[in-house]
Amino acid sequence: MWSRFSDFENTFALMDELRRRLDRVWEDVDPSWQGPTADPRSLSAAVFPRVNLFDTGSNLVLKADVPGLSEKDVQVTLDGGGISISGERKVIAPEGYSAHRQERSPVKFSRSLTLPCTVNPEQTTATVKDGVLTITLTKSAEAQPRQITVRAQ
Amino acid sequence: MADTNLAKRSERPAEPVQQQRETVVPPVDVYENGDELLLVADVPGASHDGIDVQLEKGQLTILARRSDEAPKTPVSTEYRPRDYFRAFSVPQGIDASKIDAQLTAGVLRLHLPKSESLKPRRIEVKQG
Repeated sequence: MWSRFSDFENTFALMDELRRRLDRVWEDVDPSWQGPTADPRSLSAAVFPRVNLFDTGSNLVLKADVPGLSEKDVQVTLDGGGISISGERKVIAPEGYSAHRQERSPVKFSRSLTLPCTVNPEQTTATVKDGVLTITLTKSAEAQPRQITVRAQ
Repeated sequence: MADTNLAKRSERPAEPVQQQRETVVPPVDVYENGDELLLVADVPGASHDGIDVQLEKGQLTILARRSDEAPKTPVSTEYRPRDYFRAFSVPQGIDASKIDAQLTAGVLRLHLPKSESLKPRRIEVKQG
């Protein structure tokens, strides 16, 4: 009984090892790539869309690849300290054609992310260009960077 | 466990890669009907100017360069924007001058029209 359980555990240990190695594959190719900064456990191949978050000082900028989607296919919701992106990407085979290869997959997605600071919902803009979603969030007044003047005493 | 270091194993492409920037392989759908082959590729971030499609010696190559800019100060990253490159062998009889490429919302559609010799033909059976 115990040995069986350990087999079971070993399988998972092996899968963990494989995932760790796959996470590090890029480091051999390009040492400047430090791997995804997000928790790799939350990043399976099924994660769509992948999201990069930037901080430009007064704004947070969120970018995600959403090929084939236009602005009306993506819903963006701000809720407290989080943002959610949802939508559906359909892949329709053209009529009258036979398929040789189908690598593009349809996906119905919904992702929620916690923002690192509070934002002003009124000044949020979201655009889709060339299949890339860009959301610009303005930080709220208290989260804005502030210059402190150093005074001589 | 003779050779466990899989990542270090060298793997060379069949032909020297021409472009400088690193590329990824975009997912592609390939369809066919009586008149043409249709390739559909996901290349988000690429714009019209960045698309380079060539057909040479039965080899179709697709290079799509990303032109979108991202701020330089990431907080968290789940993907790295890269250019796209893919090569296919296509049957003889595709008319290179009639290849039509359309790019909408980061999706590239390539229409490869067949020449007459490649189109399906009905053979009349004559009575002997």
